[in-house]
Amino acid sequence: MIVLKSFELFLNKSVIAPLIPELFLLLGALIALLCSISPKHALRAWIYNTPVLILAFVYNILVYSVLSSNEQVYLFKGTFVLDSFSVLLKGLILLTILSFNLSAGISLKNREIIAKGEFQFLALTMSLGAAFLVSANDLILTFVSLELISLSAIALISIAKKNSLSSEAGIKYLLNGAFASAILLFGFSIIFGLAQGNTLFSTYPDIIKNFNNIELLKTFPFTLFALALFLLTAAFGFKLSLAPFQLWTPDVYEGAPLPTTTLMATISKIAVFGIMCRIFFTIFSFHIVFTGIFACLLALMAILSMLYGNLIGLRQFSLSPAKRSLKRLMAYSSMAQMGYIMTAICLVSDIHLERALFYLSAYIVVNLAFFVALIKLEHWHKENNLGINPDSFEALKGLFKLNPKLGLLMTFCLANLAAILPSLLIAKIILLQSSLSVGLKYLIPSLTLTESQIQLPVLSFLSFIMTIIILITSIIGAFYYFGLIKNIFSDNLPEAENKLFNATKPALRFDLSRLMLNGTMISLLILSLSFTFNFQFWLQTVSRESAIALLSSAANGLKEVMLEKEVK
Amino acid sequence: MKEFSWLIPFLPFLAGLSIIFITHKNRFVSASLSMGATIISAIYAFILLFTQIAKPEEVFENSFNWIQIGQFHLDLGVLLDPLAITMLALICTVSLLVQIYSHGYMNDDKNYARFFSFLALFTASMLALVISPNLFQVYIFWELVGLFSYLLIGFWHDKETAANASFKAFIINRVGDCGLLAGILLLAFITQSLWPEEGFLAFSALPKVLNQLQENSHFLLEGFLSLTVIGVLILMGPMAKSAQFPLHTWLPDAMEGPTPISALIHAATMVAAGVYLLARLFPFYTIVPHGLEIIALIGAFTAIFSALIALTQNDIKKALAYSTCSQLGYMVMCIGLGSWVGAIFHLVTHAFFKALLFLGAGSVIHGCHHEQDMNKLGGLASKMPITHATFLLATLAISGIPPLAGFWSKEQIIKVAWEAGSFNLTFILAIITTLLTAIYMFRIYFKTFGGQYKGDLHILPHESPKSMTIPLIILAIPTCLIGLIGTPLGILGGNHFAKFLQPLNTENLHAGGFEVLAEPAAILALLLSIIGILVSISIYKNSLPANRFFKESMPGVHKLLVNKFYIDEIYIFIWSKCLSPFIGAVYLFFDKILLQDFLPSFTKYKMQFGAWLLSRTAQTGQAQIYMNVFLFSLIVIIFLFIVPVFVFESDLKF
Repeated sequence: MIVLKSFELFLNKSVIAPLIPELFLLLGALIALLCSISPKHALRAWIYNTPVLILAFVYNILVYSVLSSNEQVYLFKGTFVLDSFSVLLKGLILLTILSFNLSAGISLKNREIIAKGEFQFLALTMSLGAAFLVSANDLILTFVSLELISLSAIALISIAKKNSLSSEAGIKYLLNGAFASAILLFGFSIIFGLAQGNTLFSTYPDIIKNFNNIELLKTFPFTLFALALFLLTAAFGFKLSLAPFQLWTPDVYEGAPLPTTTLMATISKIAVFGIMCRIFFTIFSFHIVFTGIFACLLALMAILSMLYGNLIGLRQFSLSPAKRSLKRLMAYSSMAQMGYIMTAICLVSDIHLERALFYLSAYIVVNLAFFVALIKLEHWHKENNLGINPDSFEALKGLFKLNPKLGLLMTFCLANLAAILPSLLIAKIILLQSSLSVGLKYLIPSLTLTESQIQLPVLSFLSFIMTIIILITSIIGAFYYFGLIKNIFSDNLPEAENKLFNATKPALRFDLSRLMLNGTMISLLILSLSFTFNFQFWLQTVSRESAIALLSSAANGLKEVMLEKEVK
Repeated sequence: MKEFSWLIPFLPFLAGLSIIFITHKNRFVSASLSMGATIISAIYAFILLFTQIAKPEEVFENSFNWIQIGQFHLDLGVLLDPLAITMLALICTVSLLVQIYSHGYMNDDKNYARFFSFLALFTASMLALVISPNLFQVYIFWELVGLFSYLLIGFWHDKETAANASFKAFIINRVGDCGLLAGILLLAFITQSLWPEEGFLAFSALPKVLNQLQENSHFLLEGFLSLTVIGVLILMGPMAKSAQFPLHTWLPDAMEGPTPISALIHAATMVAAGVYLLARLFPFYTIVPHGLEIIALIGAFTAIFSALIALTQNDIKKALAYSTCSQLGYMVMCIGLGSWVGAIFHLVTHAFFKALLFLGAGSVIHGCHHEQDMNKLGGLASKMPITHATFLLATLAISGIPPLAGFWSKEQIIKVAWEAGSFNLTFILAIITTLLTAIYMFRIYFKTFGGQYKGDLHILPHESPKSMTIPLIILAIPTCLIGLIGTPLGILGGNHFAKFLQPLNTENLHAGGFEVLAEPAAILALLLSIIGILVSISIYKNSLPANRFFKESMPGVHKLLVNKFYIDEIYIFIWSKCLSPFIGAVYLFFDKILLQDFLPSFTKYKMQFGAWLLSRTAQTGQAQIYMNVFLFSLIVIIFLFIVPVFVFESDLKF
């Protein structure tokens, strides 16, 4: 306890303390860059980085344990905020980058990835941007960190220079991303103008309340603000691959090397989710018009994403077997899953936000475990020279027979993603309850809603539709996840089996990278199980505190900033 | 001490999992893991038992909220009351002895380690079932014991009969579980607002909730959702698990599994889970209209029905299985007559002597090289002395000869039936079953151990190894003595068992002298048992003409009994003639026509169109198209949403 107390004091008094996870990430990035000087050491950066990242992760957990939900720590004149919400998301980001780092020893052995040291450097800068983004409380910091993620991502996607798909994906992401950034910047500029040059999120509610006193802004403030809202939603929707801004996702996921896809599917999603929630709960939740518009828009996007992700994902099964791409399927899957999360976010209220956070955490862990398993699969195929494209569905054929542990793990992840196994099953049930609790209002108009703050008839109608869509699309989704599981358990290709069993096996020697990869997979598995067995802890403690923290930072932010100014 | 009681099921669970995942290649380590975990659990359970005996009225309950979604919550936890602790001690003991026995019995099986992992996992599920504080947790472990029963019956899955038997057991249990689940859900539905916090569907809150339910009759629904329907639905679970008519057919077939399994699961523990659940839900059934009558009738009917079938079975294990059905019928009947304590007492005594009988039968089968047909056995008394002696003890116990265990528990049941009204239907059925029990048990005994050896002369029957005979000897001790804990005799201070189970019920405190045995019911039961034994001796030992007389003079009845009242054939008839065509039609329409033919061709064109549309318009792979779609969607959204804002701009105020 004394340790925690002194730690709390340290956190509050020291300027550098809240930034330590980010500094660790930066340190890791520099180490990776240093290692890349000599090609001999380039691949080994992950070994040196492991303790650094573990320290960052542990530090983050410590910060979470001392921060109470209505407490914020501000840095840099309020542009950087540390509250339970950002710490939770930062924890997820650090978990992702740690898993990536631990699997890098194997995943970067891929011959296509030439610049191995730089790859790790870019991955770390990407997570650095993500870590800053979830804490950003300022327009400029938001934009800079978002661009840090995007730029790192572009380089990471096209790093397999000799693979034309990879370069193509990089170009596509560059063009589309630039487009989205422009849209985002356009939205920011409108807000910036309306707020008369203020960039701090926390100051906005106060400024907006005084709008009517300013002669210049009397003309169309609502329309302009709503326009900014749409532009922002579109840009964030692009990053989260929500329909109808999702078209880039399958191409980029497929073209990028597997480790990059892992990062794209986890880190950038978490970070953008964080900043989207923060912006909407801080800037736009002050007036019913904006919350209503935001809710309906997000609900529409969620419905479209769920439908698009699940239905178009099915198309993979109508292609010829060799063309069916696992990464492409995961792209559709991620659209659908993001759609599920948005069904709760769009009911703008703490209790639904809390459920979305629970789903997000559970989903990220399972998704990460699946991607790490894919990395292992790719490595296993290359190692055994099976001559099958590790990205095609055929790579999974007969996996249960050829490599039972990996097969079982993948089955576990896929069944979880299909919401058959507990951690995502429970998460999906509580999401369903969210949308149903509002949607019931449409069926029974006399019902009084206790769980939601906004009571729009349109929204209850949309929630009702969403409930149905979640149910239907879950079944469709289950079909394609189980299509993969069927492949895992079906008979293997005889050539592969012959090759595998006739090959002279190299003597099993100690291999740190393999050990780390297996350890990562098992830890993620256990973590994913803990969502089921410690349900109360994850939902009612972690997610609830984080959700309340976000709302209270939105409300308290102003006071804190004012106080700081007074002190100075 | 009681805080850590979750360890009792957890240790065998851990042992079972580690055998599967880690040590499955090493036979010795696997077996010792499983046995070690069970020994620790057994010691723990006995410590709990002794602390509970010191303070029987103390009930420990500890549950936590596992899942809470809105108003709905599910709890997991531990409930330690005398009933649960009795069951814990019983299960641990029998499981441990069966595991030691299995070491000998399964020694030459190549899947030895798998067998032990399943045994450990089964034990864990069963232990967790009996300490469940609420119906929800009961249901989870109810299903798990069903699963492990399935896996263990079909342990020799390359044998077709075993695979079929395990499948049959699973399907019939599924019918029962379906009813149980529906019943639990309906009960939860009508009482959902009455349960306290931290105790949804909890047994400890059951009496209070039922009181409220009776006071506020608006909770009760008429017609289809009446309490009787719920009661019968819940009863279906225990009926399937405890093999009550008409869901009993799986139990005799389940004897295809290894014999230790028959002893542990299908005689001593799992089949008793139904009786246990009925005892737990006893307060519920007292308020269900006609609930207890239905239970009593089902039990009494099963008792005599299975006893009749047992008279003609030639497979030693099947005969014992029907005997189990019959004894379970006694227990269920006893609950139906209002004395769940008597039922649990019979459950405990029956567990020991029936386990002993099965293990003895296993020893015979092992010694005679997997010969189970009693017509090919015989004369084993001198060749297998230990098995013979213990088997005889158990046979005397189940026939109800004092002072062995079976007498005391059966006497109580008969007494309860007698008190329900002299010479009523259940009493008559029960008393006739007593007679039949003695006859068929001694028939088994004489056919196996008496007379001459009739089997293959090349096979020399031999006594089983020590690891098998020692459990037999150990089990023989409780078979003789366990009944004394529940005697009403004044010498021993009255019925300790009832006092222990129901410490607050003052009726149990009075102790009688020997006059309690002079009641007409008890005397009649004892008399009939002795008559039964004499009849059996005269027919099967001395080979009276009655041996064939029955078969020749009443061929119809004999055929009916040999064919087990044609229940299986009736089921097959119902399935193939009534249900199967209907299901076939549904399958033909939905699966074949709708899903297999119509939808794919429909979706094919739709998908082709969609794919064409997509590849032409959106998902083309061209970045500029992506950007166009992006911009177009944005414009649509802006026009969709901004027009209303723009129109109502003047009405809005910050």
